[in-house]
Amino acid sequence: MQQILYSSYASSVIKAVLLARLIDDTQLKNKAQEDDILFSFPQIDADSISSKDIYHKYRQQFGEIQWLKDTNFSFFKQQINMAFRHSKPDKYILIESVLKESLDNSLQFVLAKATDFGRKFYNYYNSVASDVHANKGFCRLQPMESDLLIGKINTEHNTGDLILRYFIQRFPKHKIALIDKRKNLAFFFDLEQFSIARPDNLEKASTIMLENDIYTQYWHTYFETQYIPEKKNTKLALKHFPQKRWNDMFEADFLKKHLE
Amino acid sequence: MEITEKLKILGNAAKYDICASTATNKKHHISGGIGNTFQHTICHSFTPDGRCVNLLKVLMSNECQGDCFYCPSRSTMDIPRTSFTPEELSKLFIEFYKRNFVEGLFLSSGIKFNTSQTMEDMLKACEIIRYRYQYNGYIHMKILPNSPYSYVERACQLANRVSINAEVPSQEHMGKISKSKHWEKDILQRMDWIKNLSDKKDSKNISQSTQFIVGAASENDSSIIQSMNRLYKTYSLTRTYFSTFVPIKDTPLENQPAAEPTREGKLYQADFLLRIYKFKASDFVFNTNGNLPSDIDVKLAVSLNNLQNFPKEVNTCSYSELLKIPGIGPLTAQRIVTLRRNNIKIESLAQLKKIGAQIKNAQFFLTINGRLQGNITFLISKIELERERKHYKQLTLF
Repeated sequence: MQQILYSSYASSVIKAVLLARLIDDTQLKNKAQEDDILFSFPQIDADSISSKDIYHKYRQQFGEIQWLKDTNFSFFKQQINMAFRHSKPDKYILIESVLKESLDNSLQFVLAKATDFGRKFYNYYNSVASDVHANKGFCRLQPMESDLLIGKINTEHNTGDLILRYFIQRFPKHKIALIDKRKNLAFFFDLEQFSIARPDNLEKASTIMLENDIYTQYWHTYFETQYIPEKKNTKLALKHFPQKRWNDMFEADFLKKHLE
Repeated sequence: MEITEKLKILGNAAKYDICASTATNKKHHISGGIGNTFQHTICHSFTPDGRCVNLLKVLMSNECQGDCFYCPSRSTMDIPRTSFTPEELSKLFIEFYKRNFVEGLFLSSGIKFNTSQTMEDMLKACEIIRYRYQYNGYIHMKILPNSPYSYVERACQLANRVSINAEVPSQEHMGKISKSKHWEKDILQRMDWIKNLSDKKDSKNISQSTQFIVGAASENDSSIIQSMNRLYKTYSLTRTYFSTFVPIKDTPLENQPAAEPTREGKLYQADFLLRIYKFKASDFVFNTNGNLPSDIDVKLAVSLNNLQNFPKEVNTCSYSELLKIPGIGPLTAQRIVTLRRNNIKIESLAQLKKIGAQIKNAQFFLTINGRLQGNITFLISKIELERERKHYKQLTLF
């Protein structure tokens, strides 16, 4: 038995799955997964082999993989990259299974969620994408001295760097620090470099945000004016703004007050 | 007046204006500037009425020469009046944006002294935001009725989206809510200018939307849908929004009952069916008072009224035919067509459900490989039973 190692990105896992078909008696393993304590196998690193070679050998043995030229292929790769960020450890087996299914049937079959694996894979991708999207909206930033914007995020999956990247694009002349209390991580961009740290005193770092910021107070005033009591619909509000996203937000406290 | 007070007054006065979407293509790009636009709408918070708050939605001024009968800012109302200066508003907005409270600006206004002066203030605020603060993000600007062409043109250069409220479906209805506004001259003509400006080759991305007030002019859904359809076709609107009429104290319409809140939702369904599902305005079914049926899904009602067109064979009918089946949306229809192109057929309802169809309604209107999946008479009797049940009342012992 040989183990094929791959990294957590689409092109690596695709190469690994193709290699597994070319070599008999193999097992796939992500590099981030812990080593087996009882058994050790000879390992092949999929990243060390060029994709051209693998595709060429695969084509000779099994024929052309049509969907590699498909317009949806880049979207599929994007979905794989997002699914790798899911918090559940079964994502590796799921991604491998989805790729095997795509080779056996068709990529469209998987993308249309027509199979159980395809559906679960889509749900994983969707959950990660929603996590990024929600944090883009619900994260509050506080302008500090020397053009620093500091904010708190609340991520379910491994998405902190994606959220940071989004804010870097939005505020290209600002240093940005995002603190993820749930993961106990801080993501920082100092206009040149991007870094991830595990601060000793995260609690202190997250309370740096000023309570008496005048514009935050203006925002509270403004937000309260936007509520139309005649159209009260807390069920709808909770559907879009569930408790897990509340993240010490003023808006959540306001909603809480209006819940029956 | 303090900014807090101004925000209370001018924020409150703008809350009935609607612009839900901030999704737009890149328009302004100042290198190193603040902000960007995004292909998807981002919501930053939700009020207890379930509406997303993603824009700083304020009036430049609530001082108004207008006489709209439903409006809390109409000239005869005895309310505190105030205005933002362009400097104040632009600074406030950019600070909100930096804190990620909002995704963009939605700027409207009452008519302070005259339309030109008010438009000038609004444009000045937008210019400061764009050029002094180097803002590349989303701006939605209201065009005031009767605005001169040059101001409309400048608004189209500065904003990502401009809109002028149609408010009502026709001039006849306009007479019921305002004596000073002329529907065709003051509103439709501006829509036409915007369309022509956006059609120009050198124009950067600019989209146009409008808003109806539902129930203020005793109009029915049928007239709104006819009018909306005409506006979409003639002026290439991107979207139409609906705001249910709520009577405001001390206005001429204070004793008029509020419109049914469900009407707003039904009109949005009709709007989506028109724009995305490519239904025709004549397809819709209305009850005796000309409104969309409130107890049944709009698409389902259309399908039940056109039973001669069903069932459809899911493995052979076209994309546009699939869209007519209740429970099948554009994404599911696209998936079915793509699977078909790859020689994969739908074999069962369970498979159809997996790819995203709402089987509950869809099953009655389709066949899979020639096999009927549900009995339509069962669905009709179920709907009738539901309707009858609504007339029954649980008796009490006391």
